[in-house]
Amino acid sequence: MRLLAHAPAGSIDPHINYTAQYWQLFAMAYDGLVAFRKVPGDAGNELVPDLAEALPAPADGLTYAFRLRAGLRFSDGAPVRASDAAASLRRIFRVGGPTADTFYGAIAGADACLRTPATCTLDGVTANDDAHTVTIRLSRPDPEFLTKLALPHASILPASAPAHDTGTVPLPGTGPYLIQSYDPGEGMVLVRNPHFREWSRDAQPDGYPDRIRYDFGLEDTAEITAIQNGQADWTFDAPPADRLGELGARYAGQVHLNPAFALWFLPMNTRLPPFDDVRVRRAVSMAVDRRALVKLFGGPRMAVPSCQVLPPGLPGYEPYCPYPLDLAAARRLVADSGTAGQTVTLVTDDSPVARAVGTYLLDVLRDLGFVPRLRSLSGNVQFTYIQNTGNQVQISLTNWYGDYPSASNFLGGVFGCAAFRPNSDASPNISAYCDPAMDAALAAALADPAGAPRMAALDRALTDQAPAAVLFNPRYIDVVSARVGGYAYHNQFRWLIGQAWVQ
Amino acid sequence: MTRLAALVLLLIAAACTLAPQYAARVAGTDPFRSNIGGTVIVDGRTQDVLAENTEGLGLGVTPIGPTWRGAYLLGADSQGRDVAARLLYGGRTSLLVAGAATVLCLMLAAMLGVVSGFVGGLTDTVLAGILDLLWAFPVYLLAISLSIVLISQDLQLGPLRIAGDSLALPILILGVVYVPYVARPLRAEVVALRGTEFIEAATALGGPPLHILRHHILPHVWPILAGFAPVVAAMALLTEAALSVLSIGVQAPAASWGTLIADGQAQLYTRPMVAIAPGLAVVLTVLALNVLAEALRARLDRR
Repeated sequence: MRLLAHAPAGSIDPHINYTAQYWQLFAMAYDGLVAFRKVPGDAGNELVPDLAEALPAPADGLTYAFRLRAGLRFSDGAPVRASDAAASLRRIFRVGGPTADTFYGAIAGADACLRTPATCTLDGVTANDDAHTVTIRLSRPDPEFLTKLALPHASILPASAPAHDTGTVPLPGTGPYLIQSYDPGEGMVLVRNPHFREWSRDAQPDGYPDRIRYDFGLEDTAEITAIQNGQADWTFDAPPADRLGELGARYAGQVHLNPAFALWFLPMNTRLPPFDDVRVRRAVSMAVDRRALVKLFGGPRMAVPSCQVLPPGLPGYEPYCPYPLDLAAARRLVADSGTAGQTVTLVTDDSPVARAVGTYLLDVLRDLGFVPRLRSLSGNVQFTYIQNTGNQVQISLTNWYGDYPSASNFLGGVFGCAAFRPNSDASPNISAYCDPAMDAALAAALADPAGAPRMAALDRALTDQAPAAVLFNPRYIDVVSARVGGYAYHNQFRWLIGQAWVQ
Repeated sequence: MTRLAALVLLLIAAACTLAPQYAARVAGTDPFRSNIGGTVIVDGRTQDVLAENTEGLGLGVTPIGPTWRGAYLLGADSQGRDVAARLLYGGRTSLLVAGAATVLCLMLAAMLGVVSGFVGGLTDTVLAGILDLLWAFPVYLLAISLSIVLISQDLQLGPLRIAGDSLALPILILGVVYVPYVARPLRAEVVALRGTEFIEAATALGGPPLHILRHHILPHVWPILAGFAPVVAAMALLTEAALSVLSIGVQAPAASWGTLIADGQAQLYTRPMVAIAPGLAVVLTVLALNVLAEALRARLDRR
């Protein structure tokens, strides 16, 4: 099987890499104590035991006790021990994992590890190799802790894994495939793990391809041509807009459209004029023609207009749009705010779609009475630039793809107080919006097993405050070669590559 | 050939000058405003400017192609804007940027080259050093670096602030990066002139330096500058287009031939005219400028 991507996605250390591109591969090379069920549809959001025998149910909400399955081996042949699992959790902190704080900061002892990673002992994690048990004690309840353990950042690696980013050197894993070689300038090769045996079809099914080659460097349009010609089987990159018509018409059987827990939106800095006035933020939301934007994105099959923070399919999603297109009402709101005539700079990246959307939004801002400016930055820097409040970004165009299928990933992850870090390049709360009452309500909703209606209420409240103008929910598109069979799409890891075959 | 080149340039300049009239009276659209939901009547039939594809899975949106008449003569870009109208407006910007950058470049080069060559000594060493330093940078690398820094941060020159999306920025950058290409030959010419007998005679007769500069040096410098003008204009036009294709030249909502090519890149497969039309305009203009430069060089060459 030959896969393509325009560019590599950095380190292949599963505790470091934070990209959808490699998480998709890690899902078949590494395992955690728990996993998402590897099946298509909503069942794929469910957690199942992976290296652990069963899902723990902590009576106190703080102590998670796991027992490892017997007979597991890493791809180098070494047995998987409980101490490997404990060492792996410590390693998340020792290597300065990007989500050490946000995902795993509730583990007892995490604070000390975050302060001094080199001497991290992570007291909340204990292991007993003889009994095959690992116990994780939290310092505060985290209703989503098990979900976070199912992500590649909590992959179980040998205790001997170095306490630094291994970059291009693959680490032994437990999945059906191992990374045989990786050269960011050329590509990657995955082959079967000779020590893998299927222990749970739900958690980690065996794969079909014997060898998977992942080549980098082609432009997106050349990638599509290679797939059409049968020279490649799939590309990670979305097809260019001007190839969509041809793909939909002549290659319909090879095109797969899938829902994504994602949104394209316009974060508005709630601490900078004119967007420190909620009337202006609502005016922008009201003045945007979302159907027009969907057209710029590739048409109604490629995206669905939306006004609200939660994407369809997440717990708590209930359709809600208080901002129907009404330019006259939007102008009145701006006039009432007294901000008309101010200069507003919109920051977008330089991709064709972002540039097109940005140019359209200039018209919208001008119609509202502002003096609009467009700043188009390279995609490599734009996302970090707009996050840093030191750059005084008023409004920007960006997107957010959820790390895992959870409402909190959007409500708190994008608009929570903890996600706002002033003057930091890693501040996903680009709107600088902070409402402690909302954070508290979110925590309560998360702790409530029947908290979906509370999530829906929070979604509505946040949408009403309009820290961002949500534009649409994009869909993923996969184009595969004619020889690919068994295509299956997973909500978290997208196309389950190992579950497909080539003939 | 020279007359043909001059005619082509004249026609391009005239057409670009008439851009507002074309947009208003012929195209009937605002070439700077997205027209995503708009329609146009072609052969008595109403057509969407951006038509959603309906075949098969119904993916994607295709802009209307060239109608070869009135509105959307060359079709629409991905935002439903009239390509022909934008081509003319883009030409105004490209020619303005290239022209202004050429004037700026020649002024700076004349100043530096003449002063350096005429004064000599330490002044010459310092100025020639600065020119060598600028010369050492590949011109595109220098232009790209300056553009990236200045577009994202604006340019503050004392009390004067030049915004990142101002046309003054590409003019300034292009005007500066080509200075060594003109100033160094000028300096060499002035140094050579300084050693000629008629200058030595003028000096021996007690002529003041400024008088010698004005009456004996500059008359030899002007033809060189004139010869350089079309060459620098052609290079500036190409560089502006390159920077704009990279999104670091002319900034939206303004349009230049370079930004039009950038817009068209994403439509090469379905609507190649969006990129081809401004590309052809650049080629024609640069070709005409080079023919003119050659003719000027032949006419002004004293040997």
